[in-house]
Amino acid sequence: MRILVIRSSSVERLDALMQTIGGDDTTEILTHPALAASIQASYPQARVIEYPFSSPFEKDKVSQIVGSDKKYERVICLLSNISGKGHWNIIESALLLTEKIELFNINNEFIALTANDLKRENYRRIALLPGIISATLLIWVPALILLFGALASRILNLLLRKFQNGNG
Amino acid sequence: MGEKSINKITKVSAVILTWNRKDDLVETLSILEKDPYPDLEIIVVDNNSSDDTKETVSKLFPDVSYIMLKANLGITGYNAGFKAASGEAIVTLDSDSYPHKDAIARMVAMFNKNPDAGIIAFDVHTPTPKSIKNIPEDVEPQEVYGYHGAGAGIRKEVFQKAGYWHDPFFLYMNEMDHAMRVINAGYKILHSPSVRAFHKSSAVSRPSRNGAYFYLRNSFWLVWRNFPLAPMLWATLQLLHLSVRESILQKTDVYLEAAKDAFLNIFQVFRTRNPIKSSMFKKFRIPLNLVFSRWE
Repeated sequence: MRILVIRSSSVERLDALMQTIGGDDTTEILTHPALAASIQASYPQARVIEYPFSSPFEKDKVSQIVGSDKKYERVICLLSNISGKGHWNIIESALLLTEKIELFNINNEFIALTANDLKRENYRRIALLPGIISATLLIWVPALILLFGALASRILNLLLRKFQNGNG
Repeated sequence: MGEKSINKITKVSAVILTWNRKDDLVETLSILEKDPYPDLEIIVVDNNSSDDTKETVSKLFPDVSYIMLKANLGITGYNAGFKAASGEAIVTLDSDSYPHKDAIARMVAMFNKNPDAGIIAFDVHTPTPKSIKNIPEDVEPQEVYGYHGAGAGIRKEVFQKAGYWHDPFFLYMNEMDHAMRVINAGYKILHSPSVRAFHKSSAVSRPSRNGAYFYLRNSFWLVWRNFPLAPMLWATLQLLHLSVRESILQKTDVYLEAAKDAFLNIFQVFRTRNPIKSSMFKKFRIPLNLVFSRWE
């Protein structure tokens, strides 16, 4: 059984997953380059695939690197929490590779998700988009005022200090 | 120009922070007690545990230095340990993490071979049969741009030049903040899979506001303290947008509360601003959207 693991959380979570599923020689692990050597050393039988970008996993890039010809029996994403909330970019990436994926949470439980779950969530996001954009624009205005105020205050403090040191 | 240390490392101080984790701490100390590195000082800083951690450690490990704080001060506890340490290098550990038996010796060798290294980031794993067995020897270190507080070696002089962990953070993001300051001070952070530490994971985790709250609030502070001007402005806008978006999508107010508290302290945070040079900043990879994966 060919398994793809998307290392979307810490190496510690990967260790917990690999302990659970075993079968290193049928497992491929997609990871950013900085941790590739460490993961390959711990799991010499597994095939480590490097994601050669500095950005977080993006769906088009993941399917470009891994290939989208649906060759995996299991695709597993690592979670940094219990529910999977906040991991949508990973879930979208994984569901381009197969019809059904599994999320491995911090309680070492598997959560199954399908392409239909993806469709439903995307409709929900589209419906909520106007509210999100409006709320964001509303919040940006006072935040930017405060931000520029703090920056100006910092610059003034530095200039004052320079002036005092020059006179002192 | 990079910063090079003239200080050879011989003595190492292991600094462990604890708070009501007696059993994990005893296990860690039992392992450290047997560490073959010959000149190792062990310091436990207690964030005011309410159980009998202190009495147990004093009885079982009388050679361990114990600092009992009067309140739970979060990562400030570590700073108390760093200041008390007499070693030329400090190993930071959690009460549920411990170094592999060869890790400290390898760390010292790496420091002494690389005088421009300010930090050796340990390769932190969950202890499983494979992660314990498959540790490569003598893998040349590569330069990295972050480290994990559950296992890292820090040259003590680095604290004089780059400062200590930033107390107001309390929890989370302190290592990334410190990494940026250390690199801005001219040091390197090195990592090799040959220098390994193990970090036990909890049996069961429950939904917690703290993780999501502190990660996001401290992300704003990290950005304001360290990012160059244009990236700082852009990252702030991004974090605010993500706070709103994820609050609505995840049906929680924790992100907005964290953002509000971040902004309430914006003037104090800006007083500590020391932006990293743009050439160095480009090498960091700080995925700000990841903080929104800490809720539930």
